[in-house]
Amino acid sequence: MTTSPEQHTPAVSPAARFATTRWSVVMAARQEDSTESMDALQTLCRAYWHPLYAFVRRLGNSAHDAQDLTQEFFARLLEKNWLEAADRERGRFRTFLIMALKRFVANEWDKRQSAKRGGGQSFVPLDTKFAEERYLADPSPALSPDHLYERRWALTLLARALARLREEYEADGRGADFACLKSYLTAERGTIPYGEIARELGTSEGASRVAVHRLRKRYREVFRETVSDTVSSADEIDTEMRYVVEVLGRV
Amino acid sequence: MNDSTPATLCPRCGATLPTDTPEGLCPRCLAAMHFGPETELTGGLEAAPLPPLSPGELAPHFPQLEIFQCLGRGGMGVVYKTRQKSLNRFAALKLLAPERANDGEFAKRFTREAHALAALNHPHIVTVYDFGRAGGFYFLLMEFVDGVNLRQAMSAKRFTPKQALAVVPPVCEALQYAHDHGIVHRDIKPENLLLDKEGRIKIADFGIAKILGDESNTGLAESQPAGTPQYMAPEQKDRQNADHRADIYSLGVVLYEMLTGELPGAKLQPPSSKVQIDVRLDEVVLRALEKKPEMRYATAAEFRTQVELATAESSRPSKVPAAASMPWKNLFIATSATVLFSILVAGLLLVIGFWYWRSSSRARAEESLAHARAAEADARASLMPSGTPARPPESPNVTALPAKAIPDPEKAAELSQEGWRLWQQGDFGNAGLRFSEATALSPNDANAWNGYGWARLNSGFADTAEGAFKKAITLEPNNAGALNGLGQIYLSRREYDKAEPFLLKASQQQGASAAWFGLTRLYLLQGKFDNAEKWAQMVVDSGQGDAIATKMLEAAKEKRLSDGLRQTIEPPAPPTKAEPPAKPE
Repeated sequence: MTTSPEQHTPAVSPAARFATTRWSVVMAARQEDSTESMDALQTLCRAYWHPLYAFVRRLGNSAHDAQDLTQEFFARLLEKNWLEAADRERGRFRTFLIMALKRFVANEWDKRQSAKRGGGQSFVPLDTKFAEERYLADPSPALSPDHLYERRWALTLLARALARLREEYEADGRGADFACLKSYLTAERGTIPYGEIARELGTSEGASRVAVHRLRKRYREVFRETVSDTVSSADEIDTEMRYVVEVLGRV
Repeated sequence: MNDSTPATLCPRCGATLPTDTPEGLCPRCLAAMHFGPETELTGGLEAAPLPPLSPGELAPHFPQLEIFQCLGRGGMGVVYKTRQKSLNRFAALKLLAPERANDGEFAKRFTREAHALAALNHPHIVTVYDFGRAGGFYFLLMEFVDGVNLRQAMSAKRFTPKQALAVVPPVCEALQYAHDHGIVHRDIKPENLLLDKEGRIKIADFGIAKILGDESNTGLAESQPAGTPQYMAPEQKDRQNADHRADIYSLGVVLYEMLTGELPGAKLQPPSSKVQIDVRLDEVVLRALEKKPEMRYATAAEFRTQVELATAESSRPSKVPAAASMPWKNLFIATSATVLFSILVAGLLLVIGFWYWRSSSRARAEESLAHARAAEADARASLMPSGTPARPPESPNVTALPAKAIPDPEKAAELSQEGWRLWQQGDFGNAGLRFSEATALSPNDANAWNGYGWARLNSGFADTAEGAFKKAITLEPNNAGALNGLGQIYLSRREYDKAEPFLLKASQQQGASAAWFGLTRLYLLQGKFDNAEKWAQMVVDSGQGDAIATKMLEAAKEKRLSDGLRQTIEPPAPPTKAEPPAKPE
């Protein structure tokens, strides 16, 4: 049997370290066919491919096939100008990616398979072991592929937001503060032991109150930024936020 | 080796945490923070309301409109009846909070919300034609509904329970649609439920409470949350996180008021203690009025289903007519003497059997929902404002149902087809809407109910799905999709004994590998390894299996379920909340 993935995998895949790329940038540059927008797309794809992998696996593919399929999909996505299709998906990266994948599976995958896995080209190096562990660790075998995709997507957003937050704190030399304070992100107000936190951080109770408040506030902002990176225009942020929050509410 | 990580529970909400939960925090609670009261800090000084402007004063700002008269002024703004000159149609012009015209935060919120509102397109929601800012006013231009609001209708005459119940399904349908689009009304009350001259109901002022809302003014006890206190959910009054379930509560208050003529008091008394109605309705109403949102209906669709079921129950005849069973017995005894008689009786039995078949198929055709929808339609028709013709006399074919609910199986089949297409694309929300329409047009269509069930299940609403699957099975006992769906729901609730018969029945259908997969999980979790092996083998042989299926087959053969695999295949424990005491069946 495998060991529990919790024991040896980092909380966030190395590839999921945050990119400052935005879907809106990719969308804005799509007519120009610039390498810049391609790079941007590649970075985004790399950050958000786990949900797709889970989707492909849940369709019934073996781990090996799912890896092949996902790799191939990204290779084709980047070499072909599929961004044309993005308009039709109303500008959300989440829906764009899954629609493109479905189209790929329906129209191209079988053909490519029978033509034999060609050339061994692998344009997007993906940490497939990590993805497989994530997939097996997900305690929700009854979910449909689509539902699983949405769920993994929402969890990926959350993981990225928290990783971004952690990095911010660490960059300022406040890594220890983050480690101490993070569990109060979800704590009910009134149950937060400010005295205890103050002792641990070597500060006053008032200062610890402010520190918790700031972390919570900053987390909200960062999560919103993370979501906004995946939509193409500002007026979609709220809808997407609501959607993601709703999905997470069912986790 | 560590193969037995115990499931971790969130200390706050009690949910089972996924093993890969980010930073060890509960995703559900993290998500909930985004709609927390700390989210925004806005709000401005309240200015005294100005007297409404006359049509003449407004006219220069709205050259595209002919402005007739001021229809009223409420907390939500001032409404005028107008005509759009270009399209020559009436429209209602609503000016929002002129006193906030210079509030930048308000402007942002208005634009954001109005965009969302304009995207709503539903027969039971007042359509937003246009919005913007003109002459310093934020305005919404909306569909003009020629009729009365529910408050006026209620004060004109007391509603019968049947009429009161008929209001709920269309309102729920509209609410569900809006909720699916992420929009909460926040101010459901009789004044905002409009009845047009055809007796159709339309919800007005969607989301306006949010535009005007100052819910973000945390800590200011003296300021009022937007909404109407008598109809507001407790969490909305307390400025807690109010979500779509606040609308369900408000609609519950409206229903309570329609049934009893009173608002629910501090000590909530069941409607049947005040007026003579079927006690089964108490439960339906009281659940919407639960103080805790998580105890209410999870969705408006579920509320609708329960009201429809209750309506169907109370309008269904309580006894099977004696004629249907007795003749058989008497005839049989009387005719057992001679062959000749037997032959005669055989003929008679055929005739009676045919009559029985015809009447029972008619009975089937009038299954619960048809009852409910017809009752709804009747009641709706009788709700029309007085003085308007009930129905155009020139439509002689239509006798009982208003235009919208005329059964149309062909259209329903088309909608179902479209529903499945959307479902396959993963667009469960819109798929659900198509199926919902299909069930309205063809209430006896098991396929439509099955589709509705799957769309809702995949959207995460198992309770609604359960009701839909049950209906599909009532209509078509061998409907494999619905049988499987119901089995999967019980399985996910760890109700294994309940799940088994449905999955078994579903598994007999062609290619029902999902049911096989379910049975494998079920038997493994119950420790019935021989059974598990049989089904796991079928899954694997069918080529539909994945790594989990293979592992399950191995486990069944070894007759040992490792903790690791158990954790993978066991449904999460049901949330720990105070359950109401179980009721006898």
